Amino acid sequence: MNTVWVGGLTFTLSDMTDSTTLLNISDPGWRSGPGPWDYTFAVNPSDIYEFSISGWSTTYDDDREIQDITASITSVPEPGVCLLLSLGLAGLLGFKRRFRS
Amino acid sequence: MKNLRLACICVLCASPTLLHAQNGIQMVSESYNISASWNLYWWWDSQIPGADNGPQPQPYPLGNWSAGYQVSPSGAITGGYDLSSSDGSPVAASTGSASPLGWSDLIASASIGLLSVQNYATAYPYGYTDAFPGFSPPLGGSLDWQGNVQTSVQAVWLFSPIYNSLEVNIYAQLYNEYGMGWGVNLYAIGHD
Repeated sequence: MNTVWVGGLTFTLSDMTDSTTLLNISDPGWRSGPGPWDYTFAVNPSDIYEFSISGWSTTYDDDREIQDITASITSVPEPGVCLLLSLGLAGLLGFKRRFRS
Repeated sequence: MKNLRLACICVLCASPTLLHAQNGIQMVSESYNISASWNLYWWWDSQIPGADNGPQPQPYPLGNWSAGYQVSPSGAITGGYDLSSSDGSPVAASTGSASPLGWSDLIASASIGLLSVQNYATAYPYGYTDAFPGFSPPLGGSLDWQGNVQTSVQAVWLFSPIYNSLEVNIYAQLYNEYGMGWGVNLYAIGHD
């Protein structure tokens, strides 16, 4: 494999409120090869987070560099939260039924 | 019962950020920057024994094809772009060099939008010719050319999650091609 590197790419995800880095990947193509790049993090809804992408290239004689990146970020309730919510609703319904009777 | 209905309505209305958030995240700020620069050098090689055959920049010897381009003190024809956005507006630009030989030697383009970054650069500027209309190399030498392109892209998104679990999915297509037939590498990373 050719070791000449004419471009670089870095992804980072940081919690800006408590200054912690959750994700830091540099030159993914060379270090890890193809693979799924899906991550899940426990986060604090009251914190501010930063997601960044940076890339560069230096091309000379007959070089070509293409970097095409798309990301999606989705916040969802943790499974435990859903369970608690379900229990709470079930309790509410039970209370309502008992109150009617 | 009436109180229960009122409570449900209040729950639905309690978090206005939910109405404006996408995928459960509330964007706070979006900052983008794309930049590129290219340099193209031309010189003649006299091919005379004992003569100085080193690069001798010829900033404007080839006719008016280079009109409209910047020419550096060293004789290189230069160009590029530098664009920024701090309000989430997408940025996009492209640049390229002309050539008296009829093709674009150096090309750069980039664009950034919401969670999407593209960065392209191509440099095919190496070669020589001993016959070019309008330019006769001194003493029967040849016309040589060489160039390079530098690009950079930066995107920073600040956001606040609405829930306590964050799923990040990255899809990256990276393609590298090196000169002189050294190698070609193609990576498709991740999936939607």
